Amino acid sequence: MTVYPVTDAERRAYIISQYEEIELGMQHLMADTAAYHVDFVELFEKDTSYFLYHDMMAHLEIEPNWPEVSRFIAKYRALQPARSDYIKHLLK
Amino acid sequence: MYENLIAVCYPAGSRGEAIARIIELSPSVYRRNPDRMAEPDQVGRMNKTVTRFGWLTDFDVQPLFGMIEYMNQRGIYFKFDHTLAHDIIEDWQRIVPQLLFAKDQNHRYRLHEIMCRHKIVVSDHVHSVHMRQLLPGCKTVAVCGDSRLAIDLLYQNGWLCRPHLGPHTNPTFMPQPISTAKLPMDAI
Repeated sequence: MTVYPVTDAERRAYIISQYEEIELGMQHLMADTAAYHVDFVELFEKDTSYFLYHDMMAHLEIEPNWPEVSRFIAKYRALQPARSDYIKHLLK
Repeated sequence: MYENLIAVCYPAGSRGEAIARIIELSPSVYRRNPDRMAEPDQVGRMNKTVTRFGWLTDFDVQPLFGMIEYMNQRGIYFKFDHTLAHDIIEDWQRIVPQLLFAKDQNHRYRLHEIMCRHKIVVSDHVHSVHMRQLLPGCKTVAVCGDSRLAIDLLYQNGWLCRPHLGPHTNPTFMPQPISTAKLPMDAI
């Protein structure tokens, strides 16, 4: 294994390359031409999940099972950390 | 050809497994996973293995063979490949019917047989364009709207700086000056 000192320029170039990779990935995802888009956050929010779910079921032409799904969503949401926890490091 | 398939396509961190699970909860979709495997774990994460294609016959050699493993073997960086080479698509289409589908450790079925009888939900970290190329006829559902959250999670888990991705992102990306105070210079 070769150990060599990392210069600030190399570190900066690495970070910039990571920036560019993320930016490319975001553009790639935004250009998705799928037949149906489902917003993860909307599907798991109480106000929007009912309509989004039935919209998705109608699109996929499958029989919905809303009681089972709402049970799953309640369980899933209870296990997730609060959204503010994700950006806590940015609010400092 | 694969009209029975519903492919949930999502970027890393978007919890597409949860959406695949919700689709699977519908009675008209064949429920292949036992409830124990398909529930969120203690931390709230989904078990990622439940919605993949399944296991190969030589389970000890290749324990889990999904799209990512296949792409890695072929040296494809699928995230930025908008179209796949034709021979790769044919190769993958030849492999898929031979895959074993694992309901659990003790019950395995040939994927091709189930494909003809049941609606199946598959999901992987792929673009829906790729899924339509590899499994023609399948219905694709793209998970969106969570990319920002995924980036935040990536940042929280060890990224040094957060990219500036506003609602009107400059396509020619120029990063802002990086404050050296945030860089763990001595730590690296």
